[in-house]
Amino acid sequence: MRMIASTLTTDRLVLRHPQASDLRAYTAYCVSTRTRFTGGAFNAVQAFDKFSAMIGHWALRGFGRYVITRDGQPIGHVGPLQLDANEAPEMTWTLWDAAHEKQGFALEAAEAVRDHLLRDQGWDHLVIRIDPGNTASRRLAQKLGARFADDPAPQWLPGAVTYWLMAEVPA
Amino acid sequence: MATQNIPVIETNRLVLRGPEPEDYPNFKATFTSYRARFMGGPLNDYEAWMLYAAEIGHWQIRGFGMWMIHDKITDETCGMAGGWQPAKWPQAEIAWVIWPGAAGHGYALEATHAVRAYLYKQMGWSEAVSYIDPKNLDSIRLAERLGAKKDTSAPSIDGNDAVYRHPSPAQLNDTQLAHGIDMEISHYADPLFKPKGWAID
Repeated sequence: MRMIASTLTTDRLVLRHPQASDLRAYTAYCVSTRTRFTGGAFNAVQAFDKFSAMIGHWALRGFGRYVITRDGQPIGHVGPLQLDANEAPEMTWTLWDAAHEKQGFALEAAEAVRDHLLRDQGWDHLVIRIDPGNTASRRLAQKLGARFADDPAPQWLPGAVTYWLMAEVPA
Repeated sequence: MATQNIPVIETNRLVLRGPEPEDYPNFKATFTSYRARFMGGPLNDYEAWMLYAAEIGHWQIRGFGMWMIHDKITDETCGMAGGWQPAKWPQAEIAWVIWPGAAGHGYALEATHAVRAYLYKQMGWSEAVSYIDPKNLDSIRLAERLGAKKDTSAPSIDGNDAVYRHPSPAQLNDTQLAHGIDMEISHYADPLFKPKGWAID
């Protein structure tokens, strides 16, 4: 199988590996209320640890989450997360600042990753876990073509609803 | 520093390399065990994996980090040693951990002595401390064997840890202290001479 792309380019965005210079913007996101649906808010110490782990994930799994950049500026992260090798990789997306919402950036980035993993790389599926109150993310999951499922919530995100992104099987 | 660019350090008995995916089971075994009680543990599976990934990311963010210590002959891992500075750390520290089953052979002393020399000579560190739980007697003893002294004036991480200040680069440059550490390491390596003291790590 071909290597996972280290960079993905869309009409308006470049998705690339997380790097040290992103830490400031990522920390600002972590300490803000924007992490309220994913276990936050976090403090700066937790942000450093989480961001270090985001970098290390690539080395350990061979894939990981991309930082979404717009005109060279990091504005969010998107991509597969797999903390337990026995569980399905989880598709994630986040914009770090409200100023970048409502312009279709998250969808554009998530579509690019979805297509790369399921179409180019031949992955079977990705699971998506979302806080039920996070309506913007639930809407995005539906736009991606994810299917709602009644799987139980994982221990680390109580109450979460589950969606699945499945590779399209040719008829 | 990208993971594949982490320098390799060789000592008499050991080779130190960046953390690699296949080393994770050994890391997890120690960090989910009672052995990790002075290092924020024991951790659950999720926390252990996140910390291991963070060990790798730390290299890229800081340009230094923790090496995985391997036995030079068997390539088995026996612990970690290196530089460590997460967010809000008062200053960069030299840290180490030895897997429980590998304790008692002087590996931590040999690895940490080499790591400190590398940080001083190759990475330009001019000073270093170690933050140690006051109940972690094995680590305190190792810090002292490395020539570090308790520094009550230096800021600690959160007030629950003791700060041990390492000898400066000049204090380790061809000095009696440095020779003594080298000699203790050589005695571990040569089974004809076994130290009679308290050394655990």
